[in-house]
Amino acid sequence: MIINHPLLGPRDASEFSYLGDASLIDRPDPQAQDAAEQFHDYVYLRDNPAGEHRELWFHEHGDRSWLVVTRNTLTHEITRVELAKDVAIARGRSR
Amino acid sequence: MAEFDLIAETPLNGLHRTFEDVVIEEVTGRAVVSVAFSDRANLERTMRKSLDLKLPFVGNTARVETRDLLVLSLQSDQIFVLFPQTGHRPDLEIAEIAGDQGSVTDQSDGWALLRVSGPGSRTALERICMLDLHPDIFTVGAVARTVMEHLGMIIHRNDEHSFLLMSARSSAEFFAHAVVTSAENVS
Amino acid sequence: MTQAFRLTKGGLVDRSQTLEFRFDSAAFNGHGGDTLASALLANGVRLVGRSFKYHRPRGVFSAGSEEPNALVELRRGARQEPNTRATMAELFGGLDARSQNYRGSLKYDLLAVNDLLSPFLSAGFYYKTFMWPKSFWEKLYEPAIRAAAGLGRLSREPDPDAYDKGYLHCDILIIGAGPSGLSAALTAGRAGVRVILADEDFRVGGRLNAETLGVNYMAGSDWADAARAELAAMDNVRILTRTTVFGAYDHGIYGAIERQTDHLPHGSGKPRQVLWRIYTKRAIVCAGATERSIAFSDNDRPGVMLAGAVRAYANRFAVGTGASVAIFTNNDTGWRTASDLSAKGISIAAIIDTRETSPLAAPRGAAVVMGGRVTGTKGRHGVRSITLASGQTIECDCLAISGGWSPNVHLTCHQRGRPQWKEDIAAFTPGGDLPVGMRVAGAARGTFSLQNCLADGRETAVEILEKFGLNPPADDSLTADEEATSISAFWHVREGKGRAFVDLQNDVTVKDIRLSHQEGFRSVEHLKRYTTLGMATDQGRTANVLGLAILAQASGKSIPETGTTIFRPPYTPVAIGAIAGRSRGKEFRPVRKTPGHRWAEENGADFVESGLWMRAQWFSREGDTHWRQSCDREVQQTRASVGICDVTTLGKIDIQGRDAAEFVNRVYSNGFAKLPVGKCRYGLMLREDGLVMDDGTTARLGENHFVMTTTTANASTVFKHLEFCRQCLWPGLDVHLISVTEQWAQAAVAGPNARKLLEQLLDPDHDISSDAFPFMACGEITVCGGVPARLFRISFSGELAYEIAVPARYGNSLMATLMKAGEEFGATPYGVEALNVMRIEKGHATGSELNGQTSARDLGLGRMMSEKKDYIGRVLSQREHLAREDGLKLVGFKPVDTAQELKAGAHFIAKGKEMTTENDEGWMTSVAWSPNLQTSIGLGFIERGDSRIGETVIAADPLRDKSTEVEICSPHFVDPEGERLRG
Repeated sequence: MIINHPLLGPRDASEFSYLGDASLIDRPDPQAQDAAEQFHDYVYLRDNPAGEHRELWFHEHGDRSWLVVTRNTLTHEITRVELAKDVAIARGRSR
Repeated sequence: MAEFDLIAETPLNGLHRTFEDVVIEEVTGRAVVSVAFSDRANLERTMRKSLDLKLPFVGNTARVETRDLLVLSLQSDQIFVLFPQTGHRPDLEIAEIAGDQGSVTDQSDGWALLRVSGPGSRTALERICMLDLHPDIFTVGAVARTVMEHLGMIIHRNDEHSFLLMSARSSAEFFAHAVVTSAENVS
Repeated sequence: MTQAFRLTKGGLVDRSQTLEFRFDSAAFNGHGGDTLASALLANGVRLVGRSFKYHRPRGVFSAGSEEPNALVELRRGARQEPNTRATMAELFGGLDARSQNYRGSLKYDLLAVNDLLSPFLSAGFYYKTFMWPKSFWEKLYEPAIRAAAGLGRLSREPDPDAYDKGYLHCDILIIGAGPSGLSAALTAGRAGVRVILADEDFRVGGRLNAETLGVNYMAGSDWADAARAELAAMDNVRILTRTTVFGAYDHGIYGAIERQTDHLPHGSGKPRQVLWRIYTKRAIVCAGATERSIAFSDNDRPGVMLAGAVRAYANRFAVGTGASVAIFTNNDTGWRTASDLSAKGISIAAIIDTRETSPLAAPRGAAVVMGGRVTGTKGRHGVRSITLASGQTIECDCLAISGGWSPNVHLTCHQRGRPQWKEDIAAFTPGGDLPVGMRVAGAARGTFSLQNCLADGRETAVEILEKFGLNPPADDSLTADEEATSISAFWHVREGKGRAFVDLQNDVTVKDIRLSHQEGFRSVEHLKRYTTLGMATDQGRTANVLGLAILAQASGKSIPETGTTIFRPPYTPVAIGAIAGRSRGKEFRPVRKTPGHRWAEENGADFVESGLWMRAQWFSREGDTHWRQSCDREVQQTRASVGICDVTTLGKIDIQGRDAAEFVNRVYSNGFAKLPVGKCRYGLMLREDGLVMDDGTTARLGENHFVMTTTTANASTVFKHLEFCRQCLWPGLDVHLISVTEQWAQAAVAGPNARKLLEQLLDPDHDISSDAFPFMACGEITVCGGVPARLFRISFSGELAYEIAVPARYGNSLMATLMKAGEEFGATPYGVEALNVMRIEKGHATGSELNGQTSARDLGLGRMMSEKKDYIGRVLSQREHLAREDGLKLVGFKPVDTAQELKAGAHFIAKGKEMTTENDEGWMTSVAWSPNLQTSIGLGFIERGDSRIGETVIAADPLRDKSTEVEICSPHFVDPEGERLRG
């Protein structure tokens, strides 16, 4: 597979390591009333789509950036690659 | 008080191998200092003032000939600076240049530096490097972090037929063997 | 020996070069440019092997990589390689080949009895026969079947050859250098794009070399030569001959195997084969087509060959495959065999065409039978005559068959593409769902005349160039001789009593296919698995379509309704050695050595792998007869005076930035925000699920500067985790991470004399007295005249101890220098075994305890979970199960009988209870012989362990059949108050 890194261009997938669902960016608020419930879902529950999937890859043998890769699990087609940091900021994460 | 001396050793003991059209040699005496930053514009301003240097973007390098200094841009928020090592604390030299705009870390001892040069160098590297090293794609001055023989690597093209490879010190022997084998296999 | 069947002139062999080779016990001559198959045929060798199942005599059937019959063993000794296709083995002087799969001799194979037993050996025979009694399978059936089956033999020795890998990049990969491939390559190459042209043959040209058709008013092979020369002169084109593109993978990546030295008499010391990973923007599959057979009785005798192969042997190799050749065809191309051979003076006995049309031009003297069928052949070790449906018998020593041509669609199917049936050419062609960036041109997509192939190659290249936004070169179209290619499908001659073979390599017959259908295996995928049709190393290249057609007939369906099986990589067999490449023996995986490795080697160290690292496990001295002697001495000497241990392998992460303290505080469960500069603290890191991830000591070197240590094993995992936290969870924090594991060589100096030893190295002005530099202090200092160093007063052994780090270049020298400075105290180096003993004596946890399943509370570190802040893992660590008070607890264990040795992995069972899972109360994680206590000691988890000190339980070890009575005790075996380390 080839991942088209937003800063570096196309790179072989063997430079990367895989983590999983991009929803891991959305760490729940630990102060929330139902924090235990939310963290349970965050840590253990995943969609398993046959089709488009947003997932986290780490450019371990590259620029050490975390990426959100949109990949079709049926065809391996990659339609979008974003810096996870940008995604996190866009989703309201900050400090 | 200190009646003991510590003796410095290079990671590859001065390796030098010559093949038909490839030369592989350890590069020594270069300090390697990383500078990480949060505000690119500010660091750029500081570096321009102190070094007359334009901060390169990821995948590119910049040179300051007067100081024999090479800047490798490796991450969106991190550069490596290579220059002649004269003292024990090259990190402090760079900290002076970067001011308070960068987090400076000495990496001089963490890397083995290997130069692979000669008209056959690209053909030799084809055996271990998955990047496209065509001179139109990986141009003179380009730099990349990648993986070769399972090892994280930095590769920089400093001339059409000359590459600088940086690999972790602990696995340098294994890596150098892989580069030498590649040269043997294509010679 | 004379080459009796070598034609006197013509061909693309180098007659000036005579190469001697051996086949079985005889010596033969061939020429440069021969394959083993062509050289054998030139010498009249027709019987070259025995078939897989029935041990029927078989000869060369094809002239390419599709060969199902002529599989031979090449070379001797460790280099012996079985199942090599003789049609692909390039001849060289001294080649040593042997036939396969017989007992006795090739000519009089004892196992040919299987042929007589054939009524019993039909499809599914093994499944049906060897089921009862069950116990016979392992002892009797399987060994007997294995001995009889399997074609060639392995050498059973390690492969002495080297293999390599490599990575190539191009704009357009052209797969196949036949007419379409060459035409596409010329157009693309002239436009200046980067082209790789790969072909499995050692000569480019494909069918141009096998046919007499001309291109641009030149002989086809001459034109191919000229094209090759033009392409070779282009910087942007790379020609890879002897290279099979065997797989199409994701995103335009192709796998190819280049045979670099297989054609050389003595390996040149260079890698034998290179496995290329080719990155492409576009690929054009110009893989051509493979001719197929027609099923009829006894259609497998030596001398029965594909008609196109017969032409190839005559035209390219100047070899007559017989003195009198008959042709059996259902299409126009079979007739070309007649005209080409006749032009070379070979007599054509007959042309039998299944079609009821008017005949094409036939050579004089050839009997022409339209609407005819061959119903059988005769000849024990080679065909001598054929019988027709009319009853007529025709004498001939070679029967050339053409059942039509199947496009080589394999690569188009590697990503689940389904080929489509095209009735007009009676063949499957590539479907619409091709891998990304792939195009198909020429015969591979069912374009069968030479003129059309040349045009198709060019047009496909032009279309791609236009997609790239480039101008194609000015009109460079080619002209070629006309050829007739019309076909009328004909699969199987129903008359005749013998077996009609479909898959020659796996001995699958028409009867097997019908039987499979009768027994309910009607889907084509079931048919394949039940009969093994197409499952041999040739993947049924000459057989699949024929098999499907017969299944379709049997089930009364059309071929498209029947469908086809899917092709997977590799297109042709690839040696496992090539896939391994260099990764074998010492090069299997990278080795990491600490800067002090050489010093350790010189001082008697035995090394152990710890991940990729090599670590000294103990240092043997003269007279040591057991590692325990070394280890015990190291422990005792360290506790008595001072010991030195290389701890460079621990992960070290430099953490800087305005928010560095906040960041460290969030990733550890215990507080770090208020750690003063110049101090270190033990930190516990949890995963978000609340279980322990890693631990280590983190030092604060400056207000915004920390150095974190991780365990050796988790260094990269922790780094990745920290980057995840930094980039994905808290992108607004100003913090930067970089690994400094490689930058610093680090040594532990432990024991009552540790301070005195170290003081000798320090430069003046550094005071490390207990008041100035107390337990858990850290600082940046200089040693030995200005060498920068970092000093940490931390202790894993429980002794007064320091860890000192110097730039890695001084690491080797540091070990020697510390030992020299320690001479007066009798300093000892110690390895990871002694380190382990001492940490068990102190009750410190390592990987055996932090195994990813244990919580801070289990480890007795519940107080390290701060209640004043949020941190990774906090919320879920409060879960009911993890928070319960009566859970597992880490405690110590001693054998009641001190002569007993404890074993890690034993499970704890209350005394008097049965050894069952229900009664399992925990397990032993680490054990050691304590030279201080003179007993075996252990650490382990047991339910409510902290409140059961003094109780005895059974450490049950049913795997090693050992039960030991043990006493639960404090995990702090030595110096429980910690007085020594504060000394």
